[in-house]
Amino acid sequence: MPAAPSGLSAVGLIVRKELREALRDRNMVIQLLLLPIIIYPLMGFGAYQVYLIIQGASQGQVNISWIDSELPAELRESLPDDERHLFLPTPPELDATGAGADADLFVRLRAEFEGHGDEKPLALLSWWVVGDSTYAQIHYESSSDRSQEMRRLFRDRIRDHSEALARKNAGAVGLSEAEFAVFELKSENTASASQVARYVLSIAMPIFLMSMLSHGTFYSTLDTVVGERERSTMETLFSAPLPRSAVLLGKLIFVVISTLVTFTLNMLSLLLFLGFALQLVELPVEIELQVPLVSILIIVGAVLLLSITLASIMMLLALPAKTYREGQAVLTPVHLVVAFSSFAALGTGQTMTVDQALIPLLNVVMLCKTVIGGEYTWATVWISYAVLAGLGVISMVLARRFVGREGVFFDPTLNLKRLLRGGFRA
Amino acid sequence: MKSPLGLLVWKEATELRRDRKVIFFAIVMPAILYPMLMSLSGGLTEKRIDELSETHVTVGVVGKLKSVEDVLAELPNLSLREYPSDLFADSLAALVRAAEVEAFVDLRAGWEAREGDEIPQLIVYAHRSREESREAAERVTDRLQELREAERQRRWESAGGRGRLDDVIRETFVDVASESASAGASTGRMLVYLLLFSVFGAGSAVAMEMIAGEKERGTLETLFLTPFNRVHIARAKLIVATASTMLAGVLMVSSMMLAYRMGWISTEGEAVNTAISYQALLTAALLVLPLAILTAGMLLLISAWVRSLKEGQYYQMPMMMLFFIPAVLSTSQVIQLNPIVAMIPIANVGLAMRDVIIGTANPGLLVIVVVSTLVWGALALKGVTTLMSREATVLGFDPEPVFAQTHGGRLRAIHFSMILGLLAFFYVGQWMQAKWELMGVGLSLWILVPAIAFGVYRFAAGRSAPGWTGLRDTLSLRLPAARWFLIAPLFALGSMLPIAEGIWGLQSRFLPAPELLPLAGLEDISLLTAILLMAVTPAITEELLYRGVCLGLMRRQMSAVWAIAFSALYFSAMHLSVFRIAPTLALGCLFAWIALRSRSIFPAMLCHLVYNGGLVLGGWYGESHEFPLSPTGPFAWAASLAVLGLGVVLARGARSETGVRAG
Amino acid sequence: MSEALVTTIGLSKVYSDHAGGQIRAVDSLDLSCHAGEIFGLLGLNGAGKTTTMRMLSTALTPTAGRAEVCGHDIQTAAREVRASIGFLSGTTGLYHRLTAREMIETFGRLHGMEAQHLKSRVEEVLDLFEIDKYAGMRCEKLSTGMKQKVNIARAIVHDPPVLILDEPTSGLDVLAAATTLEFVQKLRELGKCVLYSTHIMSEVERLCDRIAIIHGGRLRGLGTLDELRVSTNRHYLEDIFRDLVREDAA
Repeated sequence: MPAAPSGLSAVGLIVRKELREALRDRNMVIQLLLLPIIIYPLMGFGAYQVYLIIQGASQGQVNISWIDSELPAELRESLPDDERHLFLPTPPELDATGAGADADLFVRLRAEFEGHGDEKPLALLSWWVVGDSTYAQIHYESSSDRSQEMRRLFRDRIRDHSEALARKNAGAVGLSEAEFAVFELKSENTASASQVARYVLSIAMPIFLMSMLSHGTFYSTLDTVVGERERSTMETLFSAPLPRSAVLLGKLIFVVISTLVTFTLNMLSLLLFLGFALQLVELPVEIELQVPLVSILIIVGAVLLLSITLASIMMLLALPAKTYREGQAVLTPVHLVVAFSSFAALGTGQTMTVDQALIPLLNVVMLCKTVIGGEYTWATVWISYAVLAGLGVISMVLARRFVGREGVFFDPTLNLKRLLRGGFRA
Repeated sequence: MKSPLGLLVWKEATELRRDRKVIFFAIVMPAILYPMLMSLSGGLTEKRIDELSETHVTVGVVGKLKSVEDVLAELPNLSLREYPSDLFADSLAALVRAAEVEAFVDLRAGWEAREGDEIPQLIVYAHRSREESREAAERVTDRLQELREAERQRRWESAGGRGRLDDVIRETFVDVASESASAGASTGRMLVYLLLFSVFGAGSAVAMEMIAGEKERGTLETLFLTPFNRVHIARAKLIVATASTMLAGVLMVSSMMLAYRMGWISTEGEAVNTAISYQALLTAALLVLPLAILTAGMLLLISAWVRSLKEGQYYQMPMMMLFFIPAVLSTSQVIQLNPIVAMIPIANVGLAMRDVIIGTANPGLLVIVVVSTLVWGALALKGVTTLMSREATVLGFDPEPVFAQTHGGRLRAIHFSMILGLLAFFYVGQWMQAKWELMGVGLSLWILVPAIAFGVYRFAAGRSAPGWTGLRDTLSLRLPAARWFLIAPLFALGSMLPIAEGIWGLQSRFLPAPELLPLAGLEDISLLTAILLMAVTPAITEELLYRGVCLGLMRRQMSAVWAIAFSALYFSAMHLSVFRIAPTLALGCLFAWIALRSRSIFPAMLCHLVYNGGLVLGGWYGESHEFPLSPTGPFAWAASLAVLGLGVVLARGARSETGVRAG
Repeated sequence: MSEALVTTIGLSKVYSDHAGGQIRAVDSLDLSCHAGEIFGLLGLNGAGKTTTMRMLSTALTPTAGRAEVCGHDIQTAAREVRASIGFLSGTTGLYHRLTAREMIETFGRLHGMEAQHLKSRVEEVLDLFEIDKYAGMRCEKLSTGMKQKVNIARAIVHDPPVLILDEPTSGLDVLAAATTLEFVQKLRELGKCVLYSTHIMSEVERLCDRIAIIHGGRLRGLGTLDELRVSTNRHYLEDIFRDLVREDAA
């Protein structure tokens, strides 16, 4: 009789079998290979169309405002003179006359306004002088974005005018332009275009990374663990003379491979799309993205370790599930926790502390953020690696023990709670 | 005896409430997860801002400006480090870059009063990609600005000025918005955005279980063997799916409002105004009902179509896009609800809800929104009932291979290859155009489009039934009757105004296009180049792909009407612009009809050439000349319709191909 | 009689129930099976047949007693035991996305067969079970009968001396069941030791050289059909079964 395969050859057989099956499953191919390729162009295209729609809608709009007849000529001339803005004289009833316009009257007159289609005045700029003091009052509606825009416009123009008046007054008492200015304050940015780009990427990348990884692991784990059970092939497989650890390891390797392939396709698709989008859209700052190879390798290492750890944990949790649906119900919270752990990037600094390196998930998020941003230390890198590797090993050991339990495959009443309650014996 | 609908509803509800996944998506996520995430992200951002403000920073300084230094040194959590005054600017920047100091202030210009108008320049160096550096620079800049104001005031007073120099104009702001409207504007955006997603999420989980899940479990067949008819079953499923979806929506709104009021969600340290009126909230909650009906209907439709839960999942992603775009649009106040927009599903409810929460909703438009959404929902329900009546849906036959040598397989092959072609055009074509501008446009049309046509033909035609007639026949590469060389240009000339002005004008009422669509590198090209690039090239290459390969292959698998519709759809999708969909769809239908009617691709090419060429010529002429008559006035319309009518009359006399289908 | 390839001595399997009590699924089972023999395990649903089969295939661990398959102890040499058996039950499915040939080949490899030998062996079993015509079809496309043939082929591709078949005809139609029974008989002709569990009397009567009647986890009767007839003074197996089972109830 032939000698039963052992060790790596057994593992290799399982991996081959799993890959072959997965590549023939339409659902798996679509979820793990096709969707990553088309999702970013789709979403990016959708977002771009939304941007154009909003731009188109706003181009057709006219921001009408009432301005006081007492407004100084210089201030009046500083207001924009284009198709988007229309400044009309304040109705006589709203004349401020030293006390400011009546708010209710403004609301009523505004509602009654006609003459420009459906457009209504968005703001009212009142102006009056009492003795040596000049008063400006802006009526606006905070619930309207356009009204807020007019308020900001008026406020900025009034401040510019105020500055000009102050300069004139200063000149009247003999202060020169330079004396009035005191000094000019200039800002210099010492960061290069590449560093700015890396900073932006360091905030966004963890969000994509975690959700992409989790997505790949989720579906392949469900297929290889729960799917095997649903198709009644688990018992068939375990009747072969393979060590259970080899079967488990083979499945784990398959899940890791699927995760990494999906992740890579997602990343490539995203970067390809971003690169293409940046060429189309003009940005206010120059962006030049160059991430050092070392940084990329560190992230690849973290991705690899996290995918192994995640795969082990998800396989462990999916073991008692009897149907795909049940497996999804168990794994979905895990998937969400992993995906949303990237939010931690919002509340943390740009350097990673040792404490952060000890917390799984957070360490990967921070590693990604700090390595891309360029502010990392090797100590935190190795600690993160060690934590992930340790967690992965523990999960695999637990999974191996649970797989060894008889009830895992033959007890229809077994669930995760009972499995864990049974302790860690094999 | 209990009502059948009641019994079925009870059965559906009982199954669902025992499903952990449904409970998670319909209750846990909307009630807990979204507010938690909002709170977390807001809290984390705030925490980071607070941390940064407490962070001790070191600021380098050069230049002996003691008064400034003393003031800066008084800033909390900031220490100054002096450097020699002979350092160059590059060195200062290098120190900041190397994080020796978080920021650098160059005071060497000083600020003593001097002759002339030369204004001293003080420079603050910061590394914008480092948070601590930005924080340090901000503190220093704010303080320097205060110092400047104080020094200015001192000089003003020294020179004999009275009062405050900067207090020239006293400005006040009066907000006329009601508290609830203001609250609605600030919190309403996120609320509507999250509401659409939570409704979709809950609807997916529920709807997939109800039909696709039952198919998998084999219980659908059992259900159909009961005395209930399919309409009742579909309605019961819709009722329960709607209720679950609505529950998710209401829970989401309630929990978000509670989170806002309790201060768990804040915006940069400021308290959020949550005084949205109960009336507004109630109206918004009622609007969730038609949305829930439509969402449930659409998702049940997918659930009835697919064969398994897994298959259903990969249809969900494109569906989510239908919610994503309206969700984003409803966060902006730019898009206004009008009678036409009020009929566009999902977008109408999102925008209506936004207006209701702010308090600017028009009751008449709300009625249109509700009625149209219910109509869409009813259509979806009809679709569900139809699908549930199919044998294949009920008995769950094993799917044939995707690209089998069957009618279904061949159709899938055509659609699959066309979609791949679109993707290729999106990625490669757009890249070419962006990289090489004019040359890129030419390359993408002359090389990429024919390559796609070839690929589609090879992939899809290879799966044809025996007796396939070959490339020439597929592309209809035959000379048409001579009259078509007159009919085609007539159609082109006659349809220019109806499409370019009519359809486009109608579309602009609810989807106004921005004035300048980005077309880099094409601003200053000669008329000849423009004609070649925008008229001749598309007339040949695009017709080969859409009216040649696509229409030719589809015509052999479906009726003329559907073949025309699908080929036009792909043609409009290729233009990659939501604004061009309607006009190019109409054009695509016209060209396809001409191709089928004339049994030749050449009249369609000619029509395309004349249409595009006409627009190019008209645009070129209009830029430098005045038209003797308005090109969009009543005379032009009358002329267009007359020309179109003549084309129709002549075409009626021509031989028709539309009734013929290959074996 | 040839040497016993499967022996059990006091084999037992006890479970704890939710109330803290014990369920003796298999209770002190002693039996032995030989090469070239079809040994039937007859009992009702829940009698302990499947548990016995699973213990012998090393899927479950006995609570007491011991068993050997081809000289290997099921507890201390589990892999060697699995290498010596071909296992088939109602819950051993096929991989839907593999073809019939791939399914058999995969399991041949999983049993350590060399590539060259495997290739010829696969052709041999395809021919033996007359499934060469659809060897290239995916398992999900096969009818129930074809699937069963592939499953049996999968179980014997590595030419194990012992076959453990747990209700292999369950869910099959008449023709498919008949074909299965024919193949089981062929296995005996090939000199295999076949453990065959079922609750269908007619199958036992037709196939089995010796029969063990199990009820409540315990062995109620053991021997050839003739021996059982003599011991119970009954002719039909159904009556024999009822008598032996009723004795326990009494």
